[in-house]
Amino acid sequence: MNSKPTTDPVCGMKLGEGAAKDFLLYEGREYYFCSVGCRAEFERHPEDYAERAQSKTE
Amino acid sequence: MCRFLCYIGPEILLSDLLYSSENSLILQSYKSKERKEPLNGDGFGVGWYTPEIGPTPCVFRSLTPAWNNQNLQRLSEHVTSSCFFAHVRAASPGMRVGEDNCHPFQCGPYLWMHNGTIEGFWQIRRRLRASLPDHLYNSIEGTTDSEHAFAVFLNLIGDIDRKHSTSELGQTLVKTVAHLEAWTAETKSTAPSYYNFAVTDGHSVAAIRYVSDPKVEPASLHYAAGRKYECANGVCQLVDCDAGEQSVVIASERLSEDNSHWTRVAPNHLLTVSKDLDVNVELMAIERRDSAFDLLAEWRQDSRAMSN
Ligand SMILES: [Zn+2]
Repeated sequence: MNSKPTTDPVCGMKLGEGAAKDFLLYEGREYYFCSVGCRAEFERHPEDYAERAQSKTE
Repeated sequence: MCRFLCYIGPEILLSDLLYSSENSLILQSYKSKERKEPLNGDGFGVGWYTPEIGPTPCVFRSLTPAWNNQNLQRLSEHVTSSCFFAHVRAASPGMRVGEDNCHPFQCGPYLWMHNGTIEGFWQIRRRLRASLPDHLYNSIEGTTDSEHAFAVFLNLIGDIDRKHSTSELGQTLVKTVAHLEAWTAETKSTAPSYYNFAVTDGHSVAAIRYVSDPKVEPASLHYAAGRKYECANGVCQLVDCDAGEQSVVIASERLSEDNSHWTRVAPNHLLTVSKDLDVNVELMAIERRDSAFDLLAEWRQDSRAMSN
């Protein structure tokens, strides 16, 4: 999968370029994940993880 | 499905850990919040370490519900340790209710707890047992899938008297799941297995939150690290502290409503805690070679691509 270096918002893992296994567009932002499991977890509790991603970039 | 709790950090009183937090394990035994069925009354168990006496832990298990066991209350008010495992049980269908089947299970310096079920256990039981050397085969006292999984772990860790590193503990736990998955993949069961396991040797802790089908929600598991478990006026909570006072708590349910102190263990990830309380989270490298799941995943991917 094509992706920039980023952090998986669910498990906190640093994902190097191209390391993401799945991604999701949520409220206009792109999120990249280490696994299908982390993406599914994000989809179940988006408010928890999206919030965390936001506060880290601020 | 059950509820469990691990504590590692400065010495604390067992009763403070079990009874005195906002959503304590005792409360979870009769009104758990993150399970559909709130009762976990098919027995309980606690294990703890006393390094000044020896490397093996003490275990107290009982068949009564944890919420009305006076002996547990009395005993816990006089037990302190820097490493506790505690479990309240809701027996899975087909699993006998009995003291032998209560967690934590103990062998040598190890304690083991499980929240979940091995799907297709009765179809793999004979093969699982046949893989064990005599001493481990004979060490299985109860009938649960959980205790059998522990025997697989002990077989993989090898010499139980040798001290293993935190990473060895964690990787052996992952290997245990890989073995269980390889066996169950050959059964006819299509439902996923749920493996929330915790294991300790009294020095480090390894825990996983795992489900065979990564699209399915695994059983809940949370952790809180870098805070002190502090009690004042009969209420205990996790508070900010100096480095020397920090602890790590791993629990099926958060012990307090304050979400900012708690992190969900990511699905199908391994959480390890070293003696120095270094916490590490990593993805479990397990491929379940099960055509049913692969086909399902492919079908979902296709339908997602079509809807985009
Ligand atoms: Zn992840």
